[in-house]
Amino acid sequence: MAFVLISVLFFYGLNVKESVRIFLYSALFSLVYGVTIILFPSKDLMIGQVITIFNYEIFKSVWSAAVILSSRVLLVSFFSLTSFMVLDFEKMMIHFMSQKFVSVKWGYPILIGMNSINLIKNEFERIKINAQMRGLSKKDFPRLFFTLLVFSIKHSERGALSLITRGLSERKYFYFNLVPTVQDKLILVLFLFFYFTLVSVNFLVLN
Amino acid sequence: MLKIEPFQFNYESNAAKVLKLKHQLHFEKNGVVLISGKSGTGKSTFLSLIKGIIPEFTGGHLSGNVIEYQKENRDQMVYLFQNPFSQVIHADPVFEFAFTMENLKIEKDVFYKKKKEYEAKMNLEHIWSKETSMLSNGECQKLVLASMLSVSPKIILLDEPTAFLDPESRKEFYQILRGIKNTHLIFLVDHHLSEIKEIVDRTIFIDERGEIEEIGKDVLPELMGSSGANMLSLPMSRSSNQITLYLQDVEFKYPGQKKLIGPISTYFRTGEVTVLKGRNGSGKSTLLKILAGLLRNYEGKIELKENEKFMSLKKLKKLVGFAFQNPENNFFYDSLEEEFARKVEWNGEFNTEEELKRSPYLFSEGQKRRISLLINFSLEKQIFLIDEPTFGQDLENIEKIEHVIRSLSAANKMVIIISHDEQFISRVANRVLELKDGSIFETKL
Repeated sequence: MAFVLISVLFFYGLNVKESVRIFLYSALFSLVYGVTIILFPSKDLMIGQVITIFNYEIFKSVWSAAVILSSRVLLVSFFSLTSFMVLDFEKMMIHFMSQKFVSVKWGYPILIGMNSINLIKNEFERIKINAQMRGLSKKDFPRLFFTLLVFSIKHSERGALSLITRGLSERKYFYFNLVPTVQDKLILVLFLFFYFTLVSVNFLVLN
Repeated sequence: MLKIEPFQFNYESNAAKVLKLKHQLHFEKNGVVLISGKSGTGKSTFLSLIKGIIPEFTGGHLSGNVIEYQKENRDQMVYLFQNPFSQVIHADPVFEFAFTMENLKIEKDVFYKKKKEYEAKMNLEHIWSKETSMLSNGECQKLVLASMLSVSPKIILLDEPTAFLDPESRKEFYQILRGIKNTHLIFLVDHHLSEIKEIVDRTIFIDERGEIEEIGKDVLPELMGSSGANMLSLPMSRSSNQITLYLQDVEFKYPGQKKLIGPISTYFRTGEVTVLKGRNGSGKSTLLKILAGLLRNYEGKIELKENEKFMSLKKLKKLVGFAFQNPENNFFYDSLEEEFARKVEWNGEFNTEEELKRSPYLFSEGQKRRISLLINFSLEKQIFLIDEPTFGQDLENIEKIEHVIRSLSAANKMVIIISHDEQFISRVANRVLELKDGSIFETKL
């Protein structure tokens, strides 16, 4: 399923370099998630056989859950992000809002979020430059995310106020009849099918 | 046309801070009403109260009505914020232009007429094929304004709409205001008083106690004058290190793009304030990054000399401090005390225990900019790279920033500033360099 989806994405123009970069970011994110599960397992997993991984003793069930769930996060995040690289996300979202599949109260904030990715990326570059110039140590690295978080929250607030002051309402008109292309529909269907398959398999394995 | 009734508003974050109007304000005719006052006195809050955003969406306690039938009349008022890109919703400029009309359920054939009308009026013909993220600040601000004007509002609220615009775009913006002031009632918060005095019809002033009052037009020249504000004074111990940066035939291009800079040859030295000018996209920020040692894949030669001895360029990162447009991207700790690397005895602000214990985020915008410079000063940086320090600042804060910059130069620091503010440049610069078509020219002051 994953192979079919990634083949379709490459067919429709996904760049190899970009997909490798996305994979690395997704891998990092899912690794952090997996480590969190291992370090802070839920009580119902802390039963049964104990195993040793890198001189660290953990319950086998905790290890299995960490591997399965972080794999799922890796696949979902990787395929979501790569799909968005190929989809015309703005047109898809406007179509869903015009057809009332998605409320404007959700759809437009998501659109603002997606269109802000470059802005936030550029701001993070500036934050990193300042951290570098100030000689912040590696242990201070998490502070950069807090600085970025403050910027993101303020930016979101301004975006939200802009929606309000420009009169956003559920009854708004949609001038443009944006019908998703065959490409967009195919990618979306494949992605959703892939996602539900993944969740179902995970559920069956974990239970 | 519009009556603003007496009210009192108490801020949620600071109950002691109030904004109040004691007497009714009545606006019968169209025109431009300037809202003036020092930073932090409540100008933006006043606009938000008129629009009805506060307290419904942002909290605080309001006693009084502000405007009768405000909710019913909300669609008659539009509100343009300071930062163009924070207001943009769509990647496609056509969708962006249509957004306000769609919200107010205006018929589609009107949209096409308005699009033609405003692309001519506001010189927008060339933007429709670009993505909104690729527009300049000026183009973006005009697009959002055009979207708002397309619904024929009676009242326009403009909150420092030119704060992020270069002088050319700003002039163009004021021309647009001149063209529409007879058909709209415009409330304008803006610090460029000398440039807007001809278009202002009435002035409302908010004092430091938060009291709102109408003042006469003849008071406007006084507001433009020097505030004589208390200035932050840096310790006057002058560093004896003479540092010079030489650039010889330096060229740079980003991977996959055409050459942006070069070949350029120039120098920068301690004890001088050098201002870099140039249009958006001319390479000013890129040049600063090269000078900071952040971009190394340039061609040509850069030499660093300290007291006439050649030094390794690896030393640049230790010497250089950046102050970007958003000062908050230099805040990493919970208190000023932690931000300042060492205790420095400067006079004026930021040296009481109460201030030092406070989070840097809790200061005013003007104070944050000065804090960003002082953080670098406390780190004993020798080279200060500063991007548009006067954007969105009132006269008093600009004077304070100028004073800090002159103090840095007097303390034998190297100061390199990107700025479009001609008045600021004339007051602080020792040299002015202009980047144009990849070349660098020294211009006369």
